[in-house]
Amino acid sequence: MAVWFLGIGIVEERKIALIPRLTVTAGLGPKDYGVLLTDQRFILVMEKSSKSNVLVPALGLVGALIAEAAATERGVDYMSARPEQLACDESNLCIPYSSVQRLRLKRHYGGSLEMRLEHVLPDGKKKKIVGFLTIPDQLMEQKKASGMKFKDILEDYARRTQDVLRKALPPGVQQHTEWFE
Amino acid sequence: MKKSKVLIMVGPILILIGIGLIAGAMLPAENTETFTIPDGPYYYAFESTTILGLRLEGEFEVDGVLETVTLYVMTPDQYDAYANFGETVAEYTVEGNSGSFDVSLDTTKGYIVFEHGFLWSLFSQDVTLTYTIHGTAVTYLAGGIALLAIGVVLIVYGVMLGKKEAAMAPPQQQPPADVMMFDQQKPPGNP
Repeated sequence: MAVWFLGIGIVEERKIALIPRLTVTAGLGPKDYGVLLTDQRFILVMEKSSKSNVLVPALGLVGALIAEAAATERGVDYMSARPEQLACDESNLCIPYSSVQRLRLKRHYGGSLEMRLEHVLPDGKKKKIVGFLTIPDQLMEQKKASGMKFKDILEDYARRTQDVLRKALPPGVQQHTEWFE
Repeated sequence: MKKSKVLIMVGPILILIGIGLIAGAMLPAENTETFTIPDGPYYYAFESTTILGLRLEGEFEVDGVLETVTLYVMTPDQYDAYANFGETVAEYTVEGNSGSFDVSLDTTKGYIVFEHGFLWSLFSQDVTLTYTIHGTAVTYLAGGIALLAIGVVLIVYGVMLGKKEAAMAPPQQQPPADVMMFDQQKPPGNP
């Protein structure tokens, strides 16, 4: 019996987990990202961006109307999208696990969960992304309808988010991670 | 960008400009004019139109120490009689090398008229007039209301169009509503 050499292939990047919403407030206005964790990197998939930081202070209510109208919202099919496809999109951010210097999850008064991700760019510059892992509206509505209290909903969501991150992140990143408890 | 979004963005901008024009229409308008009354039997007239009441105030000065002009502040009827029949009945009259005026009229239209002072019609005369008009400016008000109305219509139409576009568009992919693991896979090396 013989074993034949077939050829060399590339192992596909695997999707491990998804945190549905990271809200980053910086620059022109808040941006909502979906945080896709693969076996190689974080891919922050831009789902909604707004320019309200500029328009609302300048134009008040009218600015809010304009910002809302101009907000870009995209539906992303995470189940079928390949990580490479999402990584190619310039509005998304890719952070290889090897570049992560520090990851910190912190709970704030009121229950919100902050994520701070410090990493190094290919050119050696250090960068940090700070945002809130906010609970999606749909989930919040479901939980409220089931009779859960607001505080408990946030508590539950924060714990499950942390659990998913603990399971999904490789040891190399967990080594540099501060969990909220 | 979708048509509806453009309309909803342009609408508020027009409303803002409209509000600005309406506010501007209510504020007193100040201006300075320098002009020349040609030599001969000529006069120089300014017209002002408002909606709600009219008050004209200001001052003038003739370029030349000894030169004089006569200033009249007139209602439309008085100006009509002056321009067509040479009658010099006015709400306010002053003659001199310089002078000032502050006249409230019952009408919404008023005239400031300059003519040569006595014996000065043989020369052209340079005059500087600084005035303030108190009242509501018709043009700005009409323009402001028009822009305001167009802005509101655009927003309403934009919202309606947006609903129509949303109804016709293919259903958008619903984002996952919760944290999730894909097929319970674990990264290599993770316990």
